[in-house]
Amino acid sequence: MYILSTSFIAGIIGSLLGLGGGIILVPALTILFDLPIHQAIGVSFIGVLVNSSSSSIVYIKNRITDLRLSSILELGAVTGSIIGAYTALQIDSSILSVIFGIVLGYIAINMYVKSRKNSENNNIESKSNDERKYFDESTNEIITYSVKREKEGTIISVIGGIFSGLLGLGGGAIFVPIMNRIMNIPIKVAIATSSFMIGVTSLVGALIFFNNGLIDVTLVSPIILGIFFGAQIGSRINKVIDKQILTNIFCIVLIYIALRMIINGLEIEVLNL
Amino acid sequence: MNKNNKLENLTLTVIKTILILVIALTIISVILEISFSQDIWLDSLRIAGMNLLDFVIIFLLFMIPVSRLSIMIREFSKSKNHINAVSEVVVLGIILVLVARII
Repeated sequence: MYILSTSFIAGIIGSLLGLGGGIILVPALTILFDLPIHQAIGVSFIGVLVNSSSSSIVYIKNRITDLRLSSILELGAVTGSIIGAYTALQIDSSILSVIFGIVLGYIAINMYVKSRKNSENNNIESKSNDERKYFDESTNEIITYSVKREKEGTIISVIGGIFSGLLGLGGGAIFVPIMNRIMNIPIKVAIATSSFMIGVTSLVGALIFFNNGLIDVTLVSPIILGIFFGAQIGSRINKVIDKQILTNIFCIVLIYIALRMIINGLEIEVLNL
Repeated sequence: MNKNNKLENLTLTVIKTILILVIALTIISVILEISFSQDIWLDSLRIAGMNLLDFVIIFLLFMIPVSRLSIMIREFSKSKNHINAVSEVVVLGIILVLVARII
């Protein structure tokens, strides 16, 4: 019941911030329930998979997801996810906790800076024969764009995959900037395509962790339900709440969690010495 | 455009159907866990160290990306997007290898 409510809250916050449930679930399971970080990452893959499938339904329905682009980037992302997951299995839990804290801190600061500047690349130029389109509901316009630097994007998506496999996160915090800044993809398409892709990267991570006995099956059911219904509620709250205030509050919360993860990791290291 | 729509519709239908099934089965599993009946019949059937219902839930959940990859391979091949199809075949191949390692 505690796991169900924790994953429900993780689902709501993840959906509100557009980051998926893993970013809250992994620290919550390790800090509140004393679950070893490897096991927390293992079950987090299940949460990310549910979140990805659930949000993909909405994005595909609205025809925002670029399926052709996802098929190209998935190759790099899956390769990275395998590297990340096997690396995580070799790394000591204290070091993994510190890495998680640093990445979480980076995501929180990046989110705060972005919310202040709103600096996404929305000036998408389309000068290619391979034009793609999507309908933007907020502006009532058909937006045309073309994919640039596909090879570079595929290679760099390996990095997103590594973080996804290493820490049980979706990897959206890395895939979205890659697509938006490097590949010239509109931010909404980048978010939708990233959500779609992380289903596969989390599956790869889940299979590797499952094979190593690091997915506690008794936690799977409450996490599936918690994340699914939390994400549904979160997406509805998202429409009525002031995003700026919300982002500021959660940035502080995420930085606190990041520091706790780093301190936890360092404390274990000190005790081992 | 129509080919793209067909691919999107098929992918959407598959993800939606399996996810609804997963959620329904998970709710049943949680209800059974709270009640006593699970011990009587579900725990007697164990696969890969878990009871039958948990196994079906995890199997179906893992089938979401696998199914949509299969659909995308078929549709990309039909529309002669060979690079996309090959890329998805490689990804599906990697997943099947990982599954084979578990079995």
